Amino acid sequence: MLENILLGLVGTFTWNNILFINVGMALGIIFGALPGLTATMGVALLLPMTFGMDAATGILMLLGIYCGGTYGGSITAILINTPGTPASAATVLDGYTMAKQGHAGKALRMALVASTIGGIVSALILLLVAPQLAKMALKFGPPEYFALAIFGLTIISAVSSKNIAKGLIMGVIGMYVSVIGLDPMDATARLTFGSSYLAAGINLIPALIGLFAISEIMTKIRGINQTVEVRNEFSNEKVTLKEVRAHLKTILKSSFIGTFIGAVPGTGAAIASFLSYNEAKRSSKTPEKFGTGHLDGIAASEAGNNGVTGATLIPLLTLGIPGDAITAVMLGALMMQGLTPGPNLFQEHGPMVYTVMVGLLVVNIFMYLQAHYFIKLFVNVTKIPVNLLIPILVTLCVVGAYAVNNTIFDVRVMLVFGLMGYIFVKWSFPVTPMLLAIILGPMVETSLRQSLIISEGSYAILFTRPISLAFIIFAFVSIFAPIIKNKLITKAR
Amino acid sequence: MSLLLINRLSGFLFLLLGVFVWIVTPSQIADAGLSYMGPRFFPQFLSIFLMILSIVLIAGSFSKKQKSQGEDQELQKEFTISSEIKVILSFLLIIIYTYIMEPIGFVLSTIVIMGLLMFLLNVRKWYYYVIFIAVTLVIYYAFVHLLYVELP
Repeated sequence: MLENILLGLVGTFTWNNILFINVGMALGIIFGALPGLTATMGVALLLPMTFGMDAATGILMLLGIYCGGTYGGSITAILINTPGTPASAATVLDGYTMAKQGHAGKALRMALVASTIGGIVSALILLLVAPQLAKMALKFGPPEYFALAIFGLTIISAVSSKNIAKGLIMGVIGMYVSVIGLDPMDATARLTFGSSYLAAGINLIPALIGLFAISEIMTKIRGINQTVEVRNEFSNEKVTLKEVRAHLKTILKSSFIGTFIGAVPGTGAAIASFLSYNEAKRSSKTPEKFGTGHLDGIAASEAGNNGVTGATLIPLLTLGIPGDAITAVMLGALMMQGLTPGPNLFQEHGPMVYTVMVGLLVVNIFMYLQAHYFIKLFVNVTKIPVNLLIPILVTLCVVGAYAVNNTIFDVRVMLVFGLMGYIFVKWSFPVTPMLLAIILGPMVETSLRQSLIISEGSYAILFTRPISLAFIIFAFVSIFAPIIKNKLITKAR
Repeated sequence: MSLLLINRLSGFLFLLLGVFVWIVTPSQIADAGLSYMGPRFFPQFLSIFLMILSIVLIAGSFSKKQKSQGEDQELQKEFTISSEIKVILSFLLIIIYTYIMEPIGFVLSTIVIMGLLMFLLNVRKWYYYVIFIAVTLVIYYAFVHLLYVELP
């Protein structure tokens, strides 16, 4: 283990890696700080930049965007009362109030310290847990994989929509998309309607740029005339070591909450930051201070959401199950590089995986340095006008989709998915389950068919093996728990 | 339109989709011989699920409980042609973009189409256009020369 970590350290510290971690980090903070642009969109849009890089460098750059974006959201949350990313929604509660009182600098720096500690705790846990989990997952057969994928899909459907039927429908639609093209087992063309383009299947990258970037851009175009914002001025105040120490307990607790939440597939940073915030408030001696510009609230929310960053990579790297939308995009990036996440990744590409895991620690340290010294520059990002931003973003989307295979067809695929995403979001259908299903579709199908071939057509195989049964029970719980909870709430009234 | 109405309508559309895929599967997917584990198995398996879920969604839209939970509130984002006109026009512009990009090249097509898009988005300051052209050139240079991505 120690040997692997050393290998990872050596692998991380190349000039190329350090350069691109920092480029990614800066771009990530900018994306996070632009109001309404999520870290997910940043990773999706900038993914094509990594095509020409080697795997470790590309992934490290994306991790830089991921962590930077998650932190960057707090800049907007604090300065203009709109969380830059959903993950920073809880930061608004205290951050904006604090900035209104003229302490924007202090709030931003506390957010940075908390984010960094959250990220580092999470990266350490990743490094400790992932290899063990991967070893265990090596024993998984087709029924276990099927059950695990179904669990991932049901929990993400349950979390991302009030109406779970809508989330599950999106899951089925995503799997339909994955069916298009050649059959993974006997290479028969399926649902191609005679098109030679469709025979190659729907490429993941254009689909995800469409779902997560184009649809958001369209939503922005629609609301272009409604931007009324009150901006807080940035004040350059430092956070003292004493202040950090005073809030260290909250920061550490929130980091662990974030890490735990992140490791469960289907949850994510937004939930983690709210849970951390509520826990900090509950256990505080002065809960009435929360919401009135309390440093503890900022610390809790930001440590919580960055605490997710490393932990979401646990199910991603070991099982090939992305924990949220952003890791789903990362999964796409890994597959573009010819790496299929899952237990075999640790066997076949050990040094690369360790480079990524150790690199994540380094990413967090650079995040601290960059944001600490350049915070004044990043603050100005929030002043970029939306109507200049939109054409730039559209151009990046088009370039990104085109670059996958050098075909215009992929750009059109992106537009179709963008339109779908726009309408689905409008009708409050969540798109994350759809993306996850596009990615997991082939795995669900292959493992289900293989299981049934092993069992000669009997579905009992899914329920008689203990691990598979456990995941299926979890899946049912995640579907019915919200329904039962609602029933109890209505009863209580 | 209220959310309940949208659920009912979209449930119906997804039900139709499920039926459609079920019906076209035999003509669109050649049978490789294995009866239930062949290439047709999974799409049809999905269709059954989609039909069940759509019916659940439609049935839910008639239930009184969801009404009481405020799901019948009017959606703030109303779907009318006038409010969507900019989105539709932007979409059309990008579709045109995909047709002219290869014949006239990336840089020129981007500047023309995105210039029109910016005009549509009420950009009236000339230097924004200059900034955009500069950004386009930077993107082109970065992707083609630094990241080795081919652009038309």
